[in-house]
Order: sequence, then structure tokens, then C-alpha cells
Amino acid sequence: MDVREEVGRAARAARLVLSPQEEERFAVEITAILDAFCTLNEVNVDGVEPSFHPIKAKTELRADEPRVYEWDPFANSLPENVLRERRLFIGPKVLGE
Amino acid sequence: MNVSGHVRNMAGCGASVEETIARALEEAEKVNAEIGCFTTICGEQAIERARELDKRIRRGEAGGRLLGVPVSVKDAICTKGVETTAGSAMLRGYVPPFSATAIQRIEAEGGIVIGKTVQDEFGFGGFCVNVGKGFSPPKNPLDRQRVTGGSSGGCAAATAALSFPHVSLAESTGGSITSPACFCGVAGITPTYGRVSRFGLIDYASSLDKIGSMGKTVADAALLMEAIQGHDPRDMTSRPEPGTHLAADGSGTFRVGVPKELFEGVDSRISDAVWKSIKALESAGSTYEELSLPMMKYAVPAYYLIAVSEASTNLSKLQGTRFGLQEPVFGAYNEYFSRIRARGFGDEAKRRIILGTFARMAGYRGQYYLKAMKVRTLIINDFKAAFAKGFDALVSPSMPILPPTFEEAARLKPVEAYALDLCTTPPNVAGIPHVCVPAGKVAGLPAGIQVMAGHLCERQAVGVAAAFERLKP
Repeated sequence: MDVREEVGRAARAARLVLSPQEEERFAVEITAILDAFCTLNEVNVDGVEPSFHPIKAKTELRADEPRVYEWDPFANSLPENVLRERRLFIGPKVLGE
Repeated sequence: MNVSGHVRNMAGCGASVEETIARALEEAEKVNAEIGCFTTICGEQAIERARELDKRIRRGEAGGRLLGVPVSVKDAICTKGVETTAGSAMLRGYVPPFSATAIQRIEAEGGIVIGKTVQDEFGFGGFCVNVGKGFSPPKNPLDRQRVTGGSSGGCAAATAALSFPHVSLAESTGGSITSPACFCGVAGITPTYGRVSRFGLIDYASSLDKIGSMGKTVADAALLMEAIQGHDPRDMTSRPEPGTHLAADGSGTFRVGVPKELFEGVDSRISDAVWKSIKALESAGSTYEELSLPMMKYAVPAYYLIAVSEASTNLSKLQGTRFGLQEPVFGAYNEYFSRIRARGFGDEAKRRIILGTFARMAGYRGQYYLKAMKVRTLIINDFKAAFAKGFDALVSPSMPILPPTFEEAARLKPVEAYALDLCTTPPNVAGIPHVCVPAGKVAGLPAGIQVMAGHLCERQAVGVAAAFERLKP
């Protein structure tokens, strides 16, 4: 595994611009971290279920009843960088031209 | 005076809440100038609320377990009308339009928020030196050349330094209450996962985050915990069980277990201090037994892999359009998001986001993220097996080292700093309640005992911790 390449790939996926120096430094640090975490390979987890939460709980959902919210997003205080026109939010393209 | 004595004074002796809070704010400003434990001191709101309480007391309407008690709050917990940044430049300027459930409960019990405290950015640290861009690390009030511990470092520093009755609302993901409580010589309670609502907490790792309490004594911290615990329908992971009375008078005898793995790699002087406390407990009629919990040594990697994976998804909502940091949009949205996130997040936040994104990526997910989740099951099973033997609590050192100086902390590589969470990650990964209580001084610096109990057994953890506190070796 080329850690520097993977760091760059993860940073792009996470929407982070890194300088070449940062990319280099994070690659060294993350290599050391992953090497240390290799101790997990000693553990046999065959047949073990993952614990996504530490304590078993029944997920409680609110009653599925329709509610009417009186909220006009156009009348509300929105960030200044959101452009509004004819009751539409206008933003640049996500992926560029 | 302890906090319950202060509450009795407020309720029955005609003391003015406004005058009390004004004095508290004056001292908080002075202490903050010396050790930098607050990000915001909300004097105006606190005085306004004190005046309201005075009026209600005169009308005979006010009461509550925290009547007139000044409360400081970790900056990751939302407070209506008061800037809440979680210690990050990314959230500078974010003023929540609502308060967290824990804050609402504190206010319903008569408590008064006096300020927000400094923390590692989003909770990403054990020393409170990974503060966000534009923030400064707090100084340990016991030795200003040393760190406070983290990530709730401001909470612990304020609790240790302020002379008036006060409690602090803190939060732990992997040890962020125990570490600073230990390094600043105060008491800290981390409850069972789900015991205190997370509604209004700026999340770090959703399956690990727990709001908890700090006080100068176990009884002070327990009083705050009693006020904030209990079910909240606004948090889907909130426990349905009713809150419990936390007897913190230090009476009673107990059967405690001492897991040998949690003493490995600990400074021998700290181990000796903890053993001295255990022997004192034995002399007072309790019993102890050494035991082995073999999975504990895997808690650090399991914790970090779970925590960074969850953090990297939680922080994806911060991209400069809805909360905090913003700038004029130009170019494509993806470019804007990438640019502003690179500008707003600090070094450790970037490191954890990248590591967490990597651990969840196709091809690595099973090897890292899922493996860590399975190891967590085994860690929980280890604890369950121990408590099934009838122990009231398990006992270990809180931190393996004494509070380092700022220079010593700066020299640590990230992987070395993570390794120092060896005592605090096991109970946090398992979501069991634990209490940090001082274990005397070593070379003039505080050592701490960590008291762990089974899920929802806060009462036992607090009872044993209070007994240690009362016996003070």
C-alpha cells in the first residue's frame, strides 16, 4: 500500500485540500499509527458480532404522524453566501463546469 | 463550602443570587486571565438569569438541586444565544438557537451558566493542546507550566481554580473527563453511554460521546449528574431507565476488582499511589481481588479506529454553508468545501478526518473499522464477565503519567500521545460508567484513581469513588 497515495485519496474524498508538505507529514504519521494498530490482527474475531453501540438498546422512534411546520426558509436568516432569487436558492455547480 | 451547602444557602438564607453570580463572574474573569480556561464568559446572560431567580425566590417559586450554582460548560455543548464552537475555528460565530437538553435541565434546577470552556478541537486530544486555530491551550492551575489534560481541559482547570462553589458540564469520548480531572486533581463522572442525553452536543463520535460532570468533590459532581441524567425522547440513543440517586457520602464497604492489564505501562509512582488507596479501602473493611482482562490492551486501537471513523462522517456537515466559518463562494461547491475545510480545521482534526475516511474506504473497511467494532464486543464481554463475578467496581490508575509540561506534550508524536489513553479507552469503548477521583500527589503533582462499574451502575461507581475520597491516603 502506498500510504501517501492513500492519504491523498482520503483527503480528496473528505474534501480537504492538503499542501504537499502536509500530505507527506500525514503519510508518515498515519503509517506509524496504522503500524501500531496492527496489534488488532492478534485478535481472533471469527463469529464475533460487531458492537455498533456499546449497550444494546431498542431504537425509539417518534409516532409516525404527519405534522405541519410553519417555516418559510426564505423569510429566515440564511447564511450570507446563499443567493436567493424567485424563491430559489442559487449556488454554483457542485462538480464545476 | 460544597455545592449542596451553597444551594441550601441560596434557598433558605435570603442570599442574593445576583450578588453571588456577580462575585463568581468577577473571579472567573480573573482566573481566566491567569490560566485561560474559558472561551466565553457570558456575564450578561448569567446576571439576567440570576435576577430572574431572585424574583422567583422572593415569590417562593424557585427551587432546584442547583439553585444559584455557577456552572461552566464545555464548548461542544450548545447554549442558546452563546457562541458554541467545540474549540474549532470552523464553528467561530456559531450561536445556537437552542440549548442542549443537559443545559435545559441544569437551568430547570436553578443552575446558572457562567461560561464556555476551552477544549481540544472537537475533543481530539488528551492534553487540551490540540485547540483549534485562534484558540490557546489552558494552563494547569496546579502548575502553569503543565497541561490540563483533555479534551475537557477548560472544565477541569476552572473547577480546580475557582474558589466559589461551582460545577462543570464536561464530555468524554475516550477519556476526556478522566484525563483532565486527573491532571487537575478534581472529580469527574462519565456516565453509561445514553444515561445523559446527547441532544445539543456537537458530536465527535456518536457511539462513544457521553456528557458528564466535574466538581471539586465526588459529591459536587454527583449532584450535577443527578440533575442532567434521564431519558430524553430527542436523543434516539437515550436510555429509558429513570435516573438514579448517587450516594456520595463515602460510607459502606465494597468488593473491588483490580485488572492487572490497566497497570501495565503506568508510571510506578502512580501505581504505588493507587495501590496505597486500595489498601486504605481494604483497611476500612472493603475487599479487593486482582484479575485479568486480556482484551484491555486492544482498547486503544479499537477506540481510535471507531472514533475517527465516526468523526470523519460527523464532521462532513461542516463545510462553510450552514454553521460557523463562511466566505464568499467562488468556483465549484466541491472546491469551496475543500478550501474552507482546509482553512478551518486544525492539524489533529485533519489527521483524524483522513484516518477515519481511510478506515472506512472500500478495501480497508473490514480490516480496520469492522474489526475494531468486533474487538469492542470482546472488550465489553471482558467487562461483563468481571462484573458477573460480583465486583461492585473495578479500579485502575486514571492516567499512566503525571501531567506533562507543554514542551513535553509538544514532543510527543500522535501515535505516542494516543498510547497514553491506555487506562481511559477501555471503559469508554464499553460505554460503562466511571469516576475519576484524586489519589494524592506524586512529586507534588496529582495522580488519579479510575473507578469503573457495570452499565447503568453509576451508583456503585460513585459510591466506591466517594469512599476513596473520604479515606484520602
